Amino acid sequence: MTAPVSIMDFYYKEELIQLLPEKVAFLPGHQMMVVADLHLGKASHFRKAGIMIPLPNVSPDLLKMDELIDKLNPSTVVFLGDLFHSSLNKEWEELKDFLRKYPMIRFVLTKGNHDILSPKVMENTSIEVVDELEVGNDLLLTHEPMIDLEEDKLNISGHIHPGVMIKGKGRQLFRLPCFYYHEQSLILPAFGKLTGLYILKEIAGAKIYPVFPDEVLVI
Amino acid sequence: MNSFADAWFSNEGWTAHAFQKKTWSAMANGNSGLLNAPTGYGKTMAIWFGVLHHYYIQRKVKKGKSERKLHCLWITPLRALSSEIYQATNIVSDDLALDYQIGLRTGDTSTKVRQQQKKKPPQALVTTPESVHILFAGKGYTDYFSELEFVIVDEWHELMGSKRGVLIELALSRLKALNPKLKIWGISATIGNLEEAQEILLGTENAGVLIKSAIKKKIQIETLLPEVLERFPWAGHLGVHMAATVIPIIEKSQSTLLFTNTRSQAEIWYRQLLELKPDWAGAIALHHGSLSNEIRVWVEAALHEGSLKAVICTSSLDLGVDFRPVDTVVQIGSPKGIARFLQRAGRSGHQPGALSRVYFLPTHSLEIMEGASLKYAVKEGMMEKRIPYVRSFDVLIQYLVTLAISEGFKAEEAYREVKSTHCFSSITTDEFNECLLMITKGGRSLGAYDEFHKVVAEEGVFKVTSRRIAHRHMLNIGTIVSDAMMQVKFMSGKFLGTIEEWFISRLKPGDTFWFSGRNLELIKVREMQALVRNSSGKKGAIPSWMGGRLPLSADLGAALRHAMDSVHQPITKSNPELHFLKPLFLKQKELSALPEEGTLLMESIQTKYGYHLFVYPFEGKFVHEGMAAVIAYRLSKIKAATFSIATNEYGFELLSDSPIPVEEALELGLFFTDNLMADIRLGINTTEMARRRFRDIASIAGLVFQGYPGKPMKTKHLQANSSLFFSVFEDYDPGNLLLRQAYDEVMDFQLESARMYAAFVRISTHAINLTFPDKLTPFSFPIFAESFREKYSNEDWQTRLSKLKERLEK
Repeated sequence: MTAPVSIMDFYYKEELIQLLPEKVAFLPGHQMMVVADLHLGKASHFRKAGIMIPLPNVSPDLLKMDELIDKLNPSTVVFLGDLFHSSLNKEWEELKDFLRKYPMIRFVLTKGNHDILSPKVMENTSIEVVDELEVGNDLLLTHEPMIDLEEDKLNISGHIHPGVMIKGKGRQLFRLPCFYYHEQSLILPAFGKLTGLYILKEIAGAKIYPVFPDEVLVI
Repeated sequence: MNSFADAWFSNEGWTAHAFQKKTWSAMANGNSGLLNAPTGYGKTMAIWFGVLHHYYIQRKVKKGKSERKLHCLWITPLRALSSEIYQATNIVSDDLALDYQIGLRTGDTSTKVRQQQKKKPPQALVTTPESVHILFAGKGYTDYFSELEFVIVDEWHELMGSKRGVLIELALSRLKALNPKLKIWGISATIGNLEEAQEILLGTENAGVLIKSAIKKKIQIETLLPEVLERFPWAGHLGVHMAATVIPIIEKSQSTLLFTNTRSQAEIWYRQLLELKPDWAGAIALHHGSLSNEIRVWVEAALHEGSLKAVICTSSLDLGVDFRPVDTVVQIGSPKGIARFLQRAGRSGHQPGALSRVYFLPTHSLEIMEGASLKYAVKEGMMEKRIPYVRSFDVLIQYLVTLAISEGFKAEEAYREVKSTHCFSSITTDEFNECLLMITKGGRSLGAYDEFHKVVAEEGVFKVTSRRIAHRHMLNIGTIVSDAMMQVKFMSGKFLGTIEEWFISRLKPGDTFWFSGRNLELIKVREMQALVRNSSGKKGAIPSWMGGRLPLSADLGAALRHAMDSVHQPITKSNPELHFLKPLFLKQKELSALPEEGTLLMESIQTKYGYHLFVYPFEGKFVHEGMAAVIAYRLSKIKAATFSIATNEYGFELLSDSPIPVEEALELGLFFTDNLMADIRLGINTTEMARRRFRDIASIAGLVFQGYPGKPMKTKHLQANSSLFFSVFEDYDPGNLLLRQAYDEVMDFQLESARMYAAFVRISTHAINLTFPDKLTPFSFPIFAESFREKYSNEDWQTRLSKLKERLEK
C-alpha cells in the first residue's frame, strides 16, 4: 500500500527545501538529501550493555535509506551528525556495505556528539567528515543548531529530535516527530527508528511541521 | 505454654488473647500459618514470642556453641512499619534481658550498618521485600540464610495484590530450597480470599494453619448529609462544599484523620479547611505520598504525640503504625472498596474495646447511597479479594539476574523452585527457556555475531561476570516504578516533595501552584529540580498526579446494587441515606424507573446533544469503560455509528448523532456472552493500553534504567523510553513474553476482563427495563456531566491519525 506521499515545500530565499514524511529533507537545486540522527548501532550498543532489544537482521533504517536514494536519486547525502551511536559493532559493517552500494554518491557527515568513532575508522569509508557544510550561499548544515549565525543564512541541523504533542478529539494525545523552523534555524526530525522525541514548546513565530506517515503538514 | 510470653505479659499486666495463645502453640508445634487479626491487638507479639520460644528451645537442644546465624526474617511493606516492628521487638529483648538481637535493614540503612549485619548477623532481621532480593544479590547469601528458621510476612494482604508479592513468592521459593524446614508465617488483615492468601504464601505442599482472631472491632459508620438536598450537586468528586460539616466533628474529637482519594484532593481540602478556620494553621496538617519524607515523618510524630487536631491524608496513611490519639476518621468521597474503608476506619480507636468512629462524606447526591451500601457490606461481612499477579515474567527476569550476580544458578534447579510458586505454577519449560535466552542472548532468533552481554553460563551455572552490569542491576532491584519526578525545593535547599515532571513543565517561572499546603511560586527549573518560594497569592494550579483514581470494587458494587434495591421497600428513618434521597428517587421514578436487583435499567433519551443511551450495571468505572466499548462495538455492527462514551461508577452513556437501534440490538443479544472475548478484542484498542503497561514491565525487567530519583542520569546513551522498546518488540519480536505479559495485564487489571465477563453473565440473566424519559434523569445526569469523555473508535492508529490530519487541514 503506497499512498501518494505529499511533500511540504519550504523556501528560504531562493532555496527550495522539501520536507518529506520519511523524515528527511531534499534540496532539489543541489540534488542533496539531508538526514539527521540515524543513531545506527544503537540496538547493538544497548545489547552489549545487557539491555535486550530485538535486533533485526537488516537495519530497517538503512533499508529506508535505500528506498529514498532510489526515489530521489541524490548526488550528495548529508548526515547531520549522530550517524553512529556507539563504538564499532556489527551494524558498522552493515553501514559499510550500504555505502559500497553507492560509489557515485558523495556522503558527508557533519560530526555529532555521538559520533565517537576514531577518524581512522571513518577514513576507511567513503564518508567525508566535516564540522559544518556550506551549501550554496544561504545554507549552513551542522549537527547542533547554531547560536551565532551569519545574518541571512539558514542553519539546517538535527540533534534535538524534535517532536510535537497534538491534542485530538476525545482527549487523545498524539506525539509526532516534526520539522521545526524558527528565525534562521530549521531542525530536522531524527531519522533513526530507535530514537525518542523531544517535545518542543510552542514559541511565537516558530513553525512546526508534524510528520504523518504519508504527509508533512504545518501548524 | 510460652514462658517468655507468660513472663512478659504478666510484667505488663496483660492477659493474652486466645488467638495469641493459639499462635504460640501452633508455632511450638513447628507449623507454618497465616494469622488474621485486627490491628492494635498484639498480632506482632503473637508471632514474636513464637519465634523467641523456638530459638531458645533449639539452643538448649543444640548446646554446642556455633557461629551466630540469622534465625528469623521479618518482611514488611513499609519502612515505617519496619522500624515500628524493630522497636517493639527490641523492647521485648530488653525487658526480658535476652541476647536475641534484632537488626533493621531498609533503603535507609547505612552501608556501615549493612556490612556489620552481614559480618555478624543479628538473630532477626526486619526488612522489606526489595532488601531481601538485594541480600540475594550478595556473595555468600546461601551461607547467610543457611540456618534461617522463620520468615514472617507482615501485611501480606497488602503485598499479595502487587508485584512485590511476586518478589516475596520468589524469595520464599529460594529460602525454602536452602532450608527445607523453613517455617513461614503471614499476617493479614481480613480479605475475601484469606485461604488463597495462605496457600500462595505457604505453598501448596505446606498445609499450615489459619488462625483467625475472634475479636471484632466495633465500627460506627455515619453518613454526613448536606443540609438540603436541592442544593447538593448531582455530580462532582471533590466535596469541598461539605467542608463546613466536618468542622464540628474535628472540634469535638481529640484527633481526626480525613482520607481523600487523591493527592490533589487532599491539597484542596487542606486549603479549604484553613480558609474556613484560619486559626487552625499549625493544628492541622497534610500527608501524602509526594511530600518529602521529612515532612511526613514530622506529621506522623505529631500524630503520635497528639499535637495535631486533624490530618488530611491519602492512602499514604492507610497502612502501618497506629496513632493512639486518633479517635475519628472521615472518608471524603467514595472509598471505592469495603476493605479500604474498613482499613481506614480502623485507624481510629486503638484502645482495645474502643469504638472505631468513621464518617462518610459523600461528594454528590447518588454517592450518598454508598454510605448505606458500606453499612450493609460491613454488616454482612462482605470483603474484596486480592487478586495475585501471575506470570509476571518481568519480575522473574529481574530475579534470575539477581541470582546470577551473587552465586549463580543452575537452570533446572531454578526452574523447579520458580515453578513451585503460585505466580509461575503454569510456566512451561519453553517459557522458562525464553527467559534464560533473554538474559543470556538477548532474546530469540539472533545471529552469532551479536555482542549481547548480560548473563553467561559457565559450566551450567548462570552468572553475571561484568561488574558494571551487576552494579546497574543492583540499583534496579524492585518492582516499584515511578514517573519522572521533579523535586520541589526552596532556594535554601529545603526539600518539599516531588511532583510529576509534566505538571512542572506546563508552568512558567512566576506561575504559582499549591503544594504541600502552601502557595508556591516557581522561580526556575534546574535539571530535575523545581526551585520555588512562598507566595502570598491565593490563586494557583493544583498539581494532579497520575494514576490516582481507583474504580469501585466488585463487592462494593454488589452492596450498592442491594442498597439501591431497598428503594422498593417502605423508606423509613432507619435508613437515613435513603430517607434523605427520597425526593431524588421519586423524581427518578417519575421520569424513568428505579433500578432493581435482577433487572438492568437502561434509558434512551434524546436531547439537543443527540441520542443518549444510559445503562446502569453498578460495576465500577473500569468495567463500565470496557462494557461501553463492547456495547458500542456491537451497536455499530448493526448500524455504523460513532459514539462518545462517558462512564462513572454507576453506569455508562453512549451518545450518538443518529438514533441508536437499542431495541433491535437487545433482540440480537446486546449483552450475550457469546463471542464476548472476541468482541472485547475487536471493540477495544488494547495496543495503546498495553503500551502504557509496558512502561513498568520494561523497567522491572531491566530494559529501562530508572536511576536514582531526582538525580541526573549518567547513562544517557543507554536510555530509550519504554514506548520505543514496545514498538521495536511489536515489529521484530511480537511473540516476546514481556510483550505478551503487557497484553495479559491489560486484560486482567485494566479491563478487569474476568469481572467484565462476570457482569455480562449476570446481566444476561436479568430482565431489561428500557425507558424513554423525555429529559435527563437524576441517575443519568452525573454520567452526562462527566468531563472525561472518550470517543468510541474501532479504528487503528493510522485511521485516527488521518482523522487528526483532516482536522488540522481544515
